[in-house]
Amino acid sequence: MKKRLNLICLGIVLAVLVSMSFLFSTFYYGFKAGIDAYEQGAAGVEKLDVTYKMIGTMPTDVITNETATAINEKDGSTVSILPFISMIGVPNEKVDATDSIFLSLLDWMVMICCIYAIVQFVKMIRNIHRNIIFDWANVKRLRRLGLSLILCFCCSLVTFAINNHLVSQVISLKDCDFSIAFQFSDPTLLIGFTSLLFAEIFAIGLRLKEENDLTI
Amino acid sequence: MPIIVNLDVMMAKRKISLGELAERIDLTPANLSILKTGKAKAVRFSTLEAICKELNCQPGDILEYQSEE
Repeated sequence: MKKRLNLICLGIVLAVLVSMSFLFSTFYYGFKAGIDAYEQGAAGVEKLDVTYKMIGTMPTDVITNETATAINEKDGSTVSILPFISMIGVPNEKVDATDSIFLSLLDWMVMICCIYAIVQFVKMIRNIHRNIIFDWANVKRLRRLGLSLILCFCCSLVTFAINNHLVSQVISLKDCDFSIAFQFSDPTLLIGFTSLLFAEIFAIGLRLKEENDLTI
Repeated sequence: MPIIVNLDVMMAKRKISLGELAERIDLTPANLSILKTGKAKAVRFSTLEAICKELNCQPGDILEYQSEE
């Protein structure tokens, strides 16, 4: 029984590591870009005064869509592309300081929620390894895990919506709307609600167990 | 819970200890204590039958309903 549990946990850890490696590589490239910009600024090179925002787009006409073009490096031709999630630069003067602070706070919230969810998950698995399975502590951990993931998703969604709003003030794309719909493909919300569902199933099981234990 | 267990009263009337009764009805003292202190959620008919037989009483002598109001 524990062997199967260990295998599932190993799978989850691997999936988290892959996702973390993506986050770290994004952080690394962002950090490197920041250092480069600083060095260029110090050397007197005029720097690109933009901040990049991640946005989601929703094509209004998929068949005749010519939302964006890109150069195909293989043959040098220009091809039509359909971006769903893009990083778009917004001039710095368009981003107000309040928005920047609010977005930073949301990013911190997302990070704190993710770490909190991981801690709850690890504690729950540790409990199961100690044969503490049908216990109210596990129900509480599952509930906290679910709520933190839902909060994490909500913060990401608000960040996405603000970014879309900021970008929509600067540019508009042909046959394409800025939309937050794509953010719903993120499985965080689904996992959050699934955790809450499992917490309730655990709670029902625990109540039945208590009733059974107290039947004389 | 509005169901009151008067097992302690009946045991006192019959002058029988918890351990002795538990032994006679083939129940652990811990479980009988749960029943006596009113912590039990349910009582099996077989347990009730054994208690009534041993204490020579009716189920109504052990269990009582009191409205919560």
